Amino acid sequence: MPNALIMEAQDDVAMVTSKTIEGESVVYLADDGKRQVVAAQDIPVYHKIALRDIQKGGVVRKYGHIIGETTQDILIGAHVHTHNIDSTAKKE
Amino acid sequence: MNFHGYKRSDGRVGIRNHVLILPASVCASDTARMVANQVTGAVSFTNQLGCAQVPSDAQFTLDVLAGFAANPNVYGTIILALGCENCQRDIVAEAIGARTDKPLKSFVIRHEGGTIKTIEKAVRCARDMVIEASVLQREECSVTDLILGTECGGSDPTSGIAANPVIGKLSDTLVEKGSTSILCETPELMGAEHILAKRAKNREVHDRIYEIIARYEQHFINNGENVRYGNPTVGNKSGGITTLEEKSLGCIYKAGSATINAVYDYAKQIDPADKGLIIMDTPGNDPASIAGMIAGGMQICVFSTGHGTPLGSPIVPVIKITANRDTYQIMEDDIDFDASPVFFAEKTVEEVSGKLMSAVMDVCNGKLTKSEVLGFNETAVMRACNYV
Repeated sequence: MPNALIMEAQDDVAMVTSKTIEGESVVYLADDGKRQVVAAQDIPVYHKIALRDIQKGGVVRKYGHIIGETTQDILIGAHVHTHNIDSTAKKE
Repeated sequence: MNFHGYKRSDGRVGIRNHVLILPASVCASDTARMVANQVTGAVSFTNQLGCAQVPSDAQFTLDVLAGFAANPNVYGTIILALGCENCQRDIVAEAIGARTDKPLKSFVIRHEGGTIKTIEKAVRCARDMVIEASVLQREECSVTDLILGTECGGSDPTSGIAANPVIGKLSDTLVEKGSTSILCETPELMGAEHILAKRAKNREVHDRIYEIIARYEQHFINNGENVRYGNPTVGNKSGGITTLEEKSLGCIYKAGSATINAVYDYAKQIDPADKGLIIMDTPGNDPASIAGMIAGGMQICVFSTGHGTPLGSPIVPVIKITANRDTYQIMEDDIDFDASPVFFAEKTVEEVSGKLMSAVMDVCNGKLTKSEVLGFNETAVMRACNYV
């Protein structure tokens, strides 16, 4: 039973559709069927989980488009939010 | 597809038949409220502006005041002014006259000898206007006369993934039938402008999309700020939206997939010839954004929310929808439509959008929204800069 959603095939993150705890399997539907990642930490409902490793300074895609860039290395299964990505246009 | 509305002398069609007690400035707002409270069928709102403004800022206010009076959901208007404000009675009346020939009366509080004397005259005037309005019958009208406004507020990730696509499908369906649909909230187009610009009807519209976004961005830069310091909001972030780009990419689903035919500045009256999907330059602040669309001539607003909001409008019915099932259950007092079956893949976007279309037609025909029943009338106006 899927417990996460992606919007486009190239998305780097999925949205979890229920509260997810560390170590839990997160299942989402891709074009080629079900895929699975393991949550590396607790992830609140509707928040994002990394589907692949992304190096610091890399871009993050959701809806098939860039939603921000990473401010630290992100590993697969991590909670992706304000602590590790920021707007590409938010120049201090 | 038709509905039953009120045909106005200026050729437009309303879905409500309000008498508007219009405060020209903050100094007339309490008096306007007292008059409207006394007369069933009259509406008003708090205008916090109308004075102590530089011209570019005052123009936004004046456009909202004139556009509210001209909105087809309004039968007629009574202007209340104090007498010494920037938005003088005659200036407001002239701006209204440039948009509509509907019934218009006015009182200046200083000329009448203070609040109580003004209230007495304005209540009698409003009573007479409400009685006149009550004689009008609904007649069959075409959806080609309908202007739908789309808004989102208190968004969470369920908005972009389910509620906004449902609204987008509704927008596409109405556009196919010849209605007008407005996408707004300029800061919430930032990060998605490249997608919208590709959908522009021509080069001019393409360039205008980039222009309104650059202008909005510059406004904050001029003040040493970045719009992203405030948007997404605290609530958006706690719900799971991280960046403005993410919020915007979800926001634009409200605009479906139609061609973008025009871009309007804030609160300017929409040309009846501009059918189809258009953009209006409005703030992300919901009441200020809705006020701009009301002034443009929107008769009905569909509003997606993730966290839930009680917001309504004095003039235009606001149908609130959420795809967050918890929110629908917690905030059912305030939310009209449950789009969560799309989120849980229990129903398709098309199925739920069809149901939303029926709900929109019901409200066009007179069915009240929850915020109308509760009397919500909060209003805000876009600002160019601080008070003088």
